[in-house]
Amino acid sequence: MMPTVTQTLSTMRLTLEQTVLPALPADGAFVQEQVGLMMATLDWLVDVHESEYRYELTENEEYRAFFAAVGRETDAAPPAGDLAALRDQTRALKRAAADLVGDDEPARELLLGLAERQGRREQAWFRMTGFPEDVPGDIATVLAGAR
Amino acid sequence: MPATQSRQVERTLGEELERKIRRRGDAIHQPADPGTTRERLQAFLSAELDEPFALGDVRRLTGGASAEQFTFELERGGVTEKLVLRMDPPAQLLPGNRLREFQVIRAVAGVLPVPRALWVADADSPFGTSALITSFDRGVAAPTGVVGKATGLSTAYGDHRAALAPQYVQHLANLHTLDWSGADLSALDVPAEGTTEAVDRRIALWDRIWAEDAYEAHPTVALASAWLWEHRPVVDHVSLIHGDYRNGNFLFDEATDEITAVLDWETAHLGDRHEDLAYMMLPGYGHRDDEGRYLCAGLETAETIIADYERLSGLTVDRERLRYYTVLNMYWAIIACIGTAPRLAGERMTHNGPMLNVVPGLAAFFIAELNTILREESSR
Repeated sequence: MMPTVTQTLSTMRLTLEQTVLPALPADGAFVQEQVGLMMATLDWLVDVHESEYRYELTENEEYRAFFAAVGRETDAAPPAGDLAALRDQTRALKRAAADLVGDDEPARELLLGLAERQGRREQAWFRMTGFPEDVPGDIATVLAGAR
Repeated sequence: MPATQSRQVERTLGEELERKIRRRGDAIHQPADPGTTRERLQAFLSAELDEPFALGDVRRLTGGASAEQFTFELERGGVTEKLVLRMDPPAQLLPGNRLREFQVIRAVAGVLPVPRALWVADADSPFGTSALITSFDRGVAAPTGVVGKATGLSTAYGDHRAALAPQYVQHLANLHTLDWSGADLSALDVPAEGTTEAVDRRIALWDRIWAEDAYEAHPTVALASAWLWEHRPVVDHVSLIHGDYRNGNFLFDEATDEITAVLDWETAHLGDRHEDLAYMMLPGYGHRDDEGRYLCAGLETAETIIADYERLSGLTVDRERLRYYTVLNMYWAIIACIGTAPRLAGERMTHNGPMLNVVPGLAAFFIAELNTILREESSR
């Protein structure tokens, strides 16, 4: 596939920086701010988008492991190669997991462990937004370490 | 642990949430432009003013995840004044409304520096949405030349810090000791002192927002909600709470280092003083100084803030309650950032989609912090 999504995003970001931003009115503070946020968002997307499927699959596997640990069965295996279907299934697992918070202490303890691992992935996923601290690395590296 | 709990949400905030749901899929935000805004101002002020007036220099303001903001000039009686118009998008990132903001600003005027609240308009007004008009106050939100985040989070004050910090604590002490009982706060529910009503309503509010806005569940949110309900502290003194009291949300004069206006009152409510104190001290809003000390809100260390606040207000600061409200503040910030922000951007109900796209990064930071606290609590 040419061009790749990464290349396309990078080209758009460069155009915003070199062509659009300098052409904005000097007193257009709001639109300058919006373009700055769009450039930052494109940088962030370049950093993460190739890992999206791997990210969803890791979450799906984590939640399946959680339900196995609390002795509950889960539905069919994750749909292979279909990102949207995978995400839908993972979301159903997440909903069911959150509903267990009122259950016994062991389930809550396992849920906290799940939350901590998910939190570390989210720190890496959002690192380019500038908010997370102590980021364990880029998301591709973090997901590779989770396998 | 209190034996009973109420999942009731404040009346006017519940109405806002119902309005938000009704507008979903129906109200796609169209950004206001200066020309249209001028026409709407003309229509609104024509009905409000009995004297001739003229409008000029309508300009859009930066920032503002919750309100679309413009400045403009109003000339009447030979005097020209610069004013600020704040208009609601179809739905807001943080729950509040302009009437609440209007009433609270008027209640605290003279007690701490705030803009003058001049007019408030409802959705039937020419603005087509709830709107507030205030004075435009002199000052800057960050030192000149300092490039910060568009959200105003983590603003650093450099050489101005030492002068600003005691003022900001003094203003908070003044707010929390204000006798608000005689003020018109009809848009706010009044919680009973010596009960958990105030905190019940805050948790219930954010639980409901999460249930209505989030695209998917999150284990940290589920665990935090359960912990918050199980550990609710009694509110010993009902104060007027700003709700977003941090760096970036006040103006100061760079020449004199005087704080000229405390801004962003839309989330104000009645509750426990520890809520504002814990919010001001949240990790992520401040930074470390050259000596490695963490400066809360970029202003002062936690211990100095607490000592100064107790001295100035005559109110005690309870470390356990401070911890509780740290959790509550992180809880709602996470919900706003990964529940409401993606929903509003996805439904095209905001004027600031690019900002709402990136604020989930702040939630990732708070989730890591909150997981640490929840782990400590589970080990107690």
